[in-house]
Amino acid sequence: MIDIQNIRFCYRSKSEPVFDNFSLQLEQNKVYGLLGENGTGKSTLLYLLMGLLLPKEGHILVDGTDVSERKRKSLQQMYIVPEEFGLPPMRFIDYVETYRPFYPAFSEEMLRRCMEEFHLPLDTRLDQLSMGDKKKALMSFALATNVRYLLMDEPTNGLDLTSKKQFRKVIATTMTEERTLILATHQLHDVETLLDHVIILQRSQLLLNASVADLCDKYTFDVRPDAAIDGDVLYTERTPQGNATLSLRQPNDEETPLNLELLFNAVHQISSIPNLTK
Amino acid sequence: MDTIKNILQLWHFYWRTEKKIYLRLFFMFWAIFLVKIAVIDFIFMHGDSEIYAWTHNTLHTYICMGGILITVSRLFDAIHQKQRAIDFLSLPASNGEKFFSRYLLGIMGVPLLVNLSLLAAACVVTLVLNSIDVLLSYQPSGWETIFNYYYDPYSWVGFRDVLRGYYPVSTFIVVSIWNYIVLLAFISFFIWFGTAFRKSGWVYAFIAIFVTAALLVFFLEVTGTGNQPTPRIAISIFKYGSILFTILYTYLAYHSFCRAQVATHKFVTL
Repeated sequence: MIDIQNIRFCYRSKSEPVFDNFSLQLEQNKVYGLLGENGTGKSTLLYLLMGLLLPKEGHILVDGTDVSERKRKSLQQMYIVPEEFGLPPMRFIDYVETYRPFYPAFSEEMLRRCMEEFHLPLDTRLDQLSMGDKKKALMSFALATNVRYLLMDEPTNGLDLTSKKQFRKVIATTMTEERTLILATHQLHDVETLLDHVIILQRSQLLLNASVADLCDKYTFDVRPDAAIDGDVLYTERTPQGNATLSLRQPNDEETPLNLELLFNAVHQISSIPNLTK
Repeated sequence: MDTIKNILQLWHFYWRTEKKIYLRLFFMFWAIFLVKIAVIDFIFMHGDSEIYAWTHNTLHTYICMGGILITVSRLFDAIHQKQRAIDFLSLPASNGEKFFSRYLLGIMGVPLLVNLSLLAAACVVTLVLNSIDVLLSYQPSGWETIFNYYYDPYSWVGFRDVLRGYYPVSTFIVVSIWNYIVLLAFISFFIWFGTAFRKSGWVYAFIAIFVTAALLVFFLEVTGTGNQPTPRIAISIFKYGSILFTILYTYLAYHSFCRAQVATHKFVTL
């Protein structure tokens, strides 16, 4: 479990703190979507979770260990796929041989499976890959480390449509019971089918922290004509297909799939959605 | 055992991911050495023996130390670049393992390898050439002198002389342990400023270089190369002072390293 306790963090170049008295608990075995507009602190939060940035105040505990100590045992259970990264100019198989000794639970079988899904050969040279392929190779390695906490910052940036589909398939097939996956992104459509839990940040505050099951249980996401907009509707957006609508779910209503973009816009536009905002 | 295994794994990791830095430094050392011996020794070898000894031994030590400093600064440069810092700091090894593996590699790894490779090359050249000399009876002393180095002071220094010259020089380098202790203080001070003050720290680091270099030169002068006898108390102060500063600076460097973060422009409070 990740326990963020009243942290305060600010960059030296900015007077405003990125996080001030910020607390959050992340449970095991879930896929979290960390959403927010640019500059809301998504990447900063991931770096804080890894111990790559240190909070001015407060603590971040991962399975009871303070991550700011950057202990070997806790780092062995965490891996971050940053938005921007550099890979050394070597063959991917050599890269794996160099890094895998640090991860005791590394699974070669999972690596092969991921690389197959991404249609990448194992002996490919990293410096000859496109940015998207590099990202896919790094994500394959990240998944194969079998760490308990896997953090991905904008994982679908730079991926084409086919790759995004491959990404979703790989994540869905490689999720294990021991793993917690945190996806920080503003590409909402790319991840909405993967998420178990949604966290929305705005100006470093927690705007929403709810499970997808709860959201789908309480709310209905559908498209309605103008005539069907009634009192249950909490938020609506005009689209070419009609009005994309977020409404309170009635006892007889069927459960609808989560529309993450609609939800995201709703919590930003309306701060008084019942039972929705924190 | 785990720590030793992790340090070895880290060395393997550094070598695989930063091979170019080490190779560049390795060949830079060789180039500096060859130029130094071939040019400077030739200029001074006709002068008096003290100047010759200084250029041949002390100057060579300075060059080695400068090289070590460059090595260390390049190694710790990793945490000043965001992408490499993420890679490096998130690697599952403790702060201590990461710091000391880097530290040991910088001080003992590359420079020692260069010294040893030069020494090995010098031994081989000396052995081969003296063997030929003995076989051709150019040297009257026979087989017992096979490892001895003969230096002709009236000829231009050739490549074989350059390498053979390293044989006595490297012996001097290995035995001057105090120079290395002073160097450790110097390097720790450098890392401390580099990691604590991050980007703007290089200004302070250069000041640190000048201050410590001045101390180093003074130390070397009073402990071996000067004409005047040095008071023993002065030698003791420098020797034990350098140990004290080495420990202090190493601790401060380690402390700042533990507080190193991926964000640049970040002042880290000690």
